[in-house]
Amino acid sequence: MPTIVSVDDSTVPGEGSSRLLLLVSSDNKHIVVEEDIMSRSRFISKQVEGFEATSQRHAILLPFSSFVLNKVIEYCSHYRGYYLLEDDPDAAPPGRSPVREWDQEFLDVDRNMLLRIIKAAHYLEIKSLVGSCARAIADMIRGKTTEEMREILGVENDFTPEEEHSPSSKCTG
Amino acid sequence: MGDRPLSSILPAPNLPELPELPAQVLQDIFRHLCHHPMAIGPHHSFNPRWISVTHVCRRWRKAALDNPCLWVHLPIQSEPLTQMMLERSRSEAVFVEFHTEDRGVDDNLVLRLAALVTRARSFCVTASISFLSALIGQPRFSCSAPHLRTLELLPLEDMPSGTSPSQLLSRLDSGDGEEDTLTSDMRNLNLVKHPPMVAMLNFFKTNRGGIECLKLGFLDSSPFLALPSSPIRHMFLPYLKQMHLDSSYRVCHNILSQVIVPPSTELKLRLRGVQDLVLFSEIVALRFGRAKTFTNLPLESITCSLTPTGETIWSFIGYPPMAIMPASGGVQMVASVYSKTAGETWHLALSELSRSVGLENVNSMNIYMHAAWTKDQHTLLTSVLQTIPKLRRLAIDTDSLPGLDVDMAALALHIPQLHILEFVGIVDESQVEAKKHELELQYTAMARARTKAGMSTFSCRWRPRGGWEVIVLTENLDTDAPPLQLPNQSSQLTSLPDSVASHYAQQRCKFLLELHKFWAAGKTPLPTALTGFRYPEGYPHQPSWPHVKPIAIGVVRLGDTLNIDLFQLFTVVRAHGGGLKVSKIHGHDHAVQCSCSRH
Repeated sequence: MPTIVSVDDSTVPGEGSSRLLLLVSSDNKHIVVEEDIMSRSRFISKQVEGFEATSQRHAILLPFSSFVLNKVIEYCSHYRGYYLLEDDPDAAPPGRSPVREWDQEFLDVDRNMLLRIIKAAHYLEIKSLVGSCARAIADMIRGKTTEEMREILGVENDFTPEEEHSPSSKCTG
Repeated sequence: MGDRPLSSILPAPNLPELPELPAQVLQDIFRHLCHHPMAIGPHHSFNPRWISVTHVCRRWRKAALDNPCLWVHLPIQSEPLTQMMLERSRSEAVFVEFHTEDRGVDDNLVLRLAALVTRARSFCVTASISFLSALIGQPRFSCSAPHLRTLELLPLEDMPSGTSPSQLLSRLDSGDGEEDTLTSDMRNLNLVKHPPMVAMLNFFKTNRGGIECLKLGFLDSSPFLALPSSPIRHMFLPYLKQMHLDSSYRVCHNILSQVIVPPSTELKLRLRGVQDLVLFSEIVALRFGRAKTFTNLPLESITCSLTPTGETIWSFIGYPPMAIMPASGGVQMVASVYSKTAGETWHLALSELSRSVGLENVNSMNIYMHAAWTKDQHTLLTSVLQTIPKLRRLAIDTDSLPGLDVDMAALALHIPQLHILEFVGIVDESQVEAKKHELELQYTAMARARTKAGMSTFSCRWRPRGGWEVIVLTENLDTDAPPLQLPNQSSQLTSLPDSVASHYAQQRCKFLLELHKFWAAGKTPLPTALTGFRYPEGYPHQPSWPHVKPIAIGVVRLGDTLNIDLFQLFTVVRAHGGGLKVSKIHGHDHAVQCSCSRH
């Protein structure tokens, strides 16, 4: 759970038509963003519901850097007001995320950044972004050997030599 | 935030080492890996190479093994792999897809396939008739299949009538479940090359109306025609998206007479031997909510194809409601005619179309010419085209056969309303320039003649074959021509006597959806047979409404004889003041208020 700190109402105007949220990244950058933009995040929505229950607005501390957070905000801003099936909690989730051209350009980033974005999207519960990142990562490792996959995603082989050569793990998958 | 994204303004920090992805995220990635990247549908796309992710590290392996949904696409060719995936998919319904060109029958393979039906959500096999016959003949194949939603059994060869696969669905239905027959909850049914009778009748008798895609093709219709006139009960298929029928005129007629489908259903009919287009149009219109409109259809595009196949085939391909595609000129209908008597039949067909559906709004027409026409037939063609007032584009594909030259001058001079004349054909690359030159000469002569006759400007194109079937209705045909006339949608709709029925059907469907959502949210979902909507995942198949007896979508039976249509009941209650008033008068608890006021 994130740490929540109380904020002065003068810092974050919480009433009126343009309600704002204060997001604080792990590198202690304060980012003010319209609540409407971040409504795609189930996590943020739940936090806001909590604010409404207690009639107090807070800053939301998030466990990732401002660089990653800004990227997520850029995604949410782009799809502001759009209906995306994957983000509808009432809709049956699609098996695979649809290909969206803008997402492909948006996620044309280096591997480290992509992994950080998907982790942040998972934390913020933005399913559409998780899906698009998952598709991008899958494309990176599709058709690669296990060794290449480890190298691409920085994963360490922690199988014992016995496990690695056992029929249950090697021959049949 | 400005136009420029923040992340492009801020400098990239020195990021620490790669983060470890949560198991759920890994599973999302694996889900994408399971499929070929270019695959569109859920089927025909499984990629078994993804399994190598389980060899990367322990976390990846655990994440993959913890999610049974990742293991549901069975690679039938490898028995150990199939077995392993069956175990790992646990109790999930599986997808079986098998294609073989081998004409022999591998008994072991047949046995394995037949045993999978009980667990299959999708069962698609393409094989020889002998293989399919052996498969259907398996005793294990006739058991109940509660999860099955898609069934495709496609023989490599055309199926002669009377072969055992004609009994396919009757065998499947004869399983132990009296009500939950295999076809009762079917979503996609593709039996394109099977003889009609038993399969189709069983489907119509047992399906509860949840089907989304129905493709039936029959080679032999005589058994069907020997039946009494109404062998199938009337059936409401509210979720149907695609219906493809390929059969004799009478069989299609009988089926369409019995089903009620949403107006937006994509309908593909291949009728063999059309006898009465007017009757056909009435039947289609009746079922698609356009009883009178079909004859006044704002037909804007028609493809007439001529091939010497010896049979006449009409193809009407999908005409969604106007509201869906207003930008592209409203309702689109494409018709194809094949005949060895070429021009004469073409002329008769066009006359028939003109009489029954009206060609007054046609402004674009494609004509295939695959057989030689006589000069008289050319004259006939021209005379019919003359009667289409808004015809502005005419494209002719002569298939580049010798002797199929069209009398262009006649077309250009005798059809003054024409603005664009196109020729389509296959020409060797070396002859393209010569062809163009030839056309230019003819065009110059034609344009001069038209100008002399006081006719409007006229353009002529030649293009190689390709993309022929695509008709762009919004294409700006000619800058001098008046804009394409779109059908007057509002007047069209208000003139529809069946529009009320269509609206009623939509409202009813919406009501049932809300009802389904309401009770599903309350953890007591209504049976699929009642609402027509899929039973939510995670609940036992037997619903929490054991005493509710749905006899059709949205209709329950009370006692032995009383049938109640829930939507009608709802409209009556609402018309009398809603649940609140009813409760007040009769002193019921607030449950009636809640369920009624919610809707």
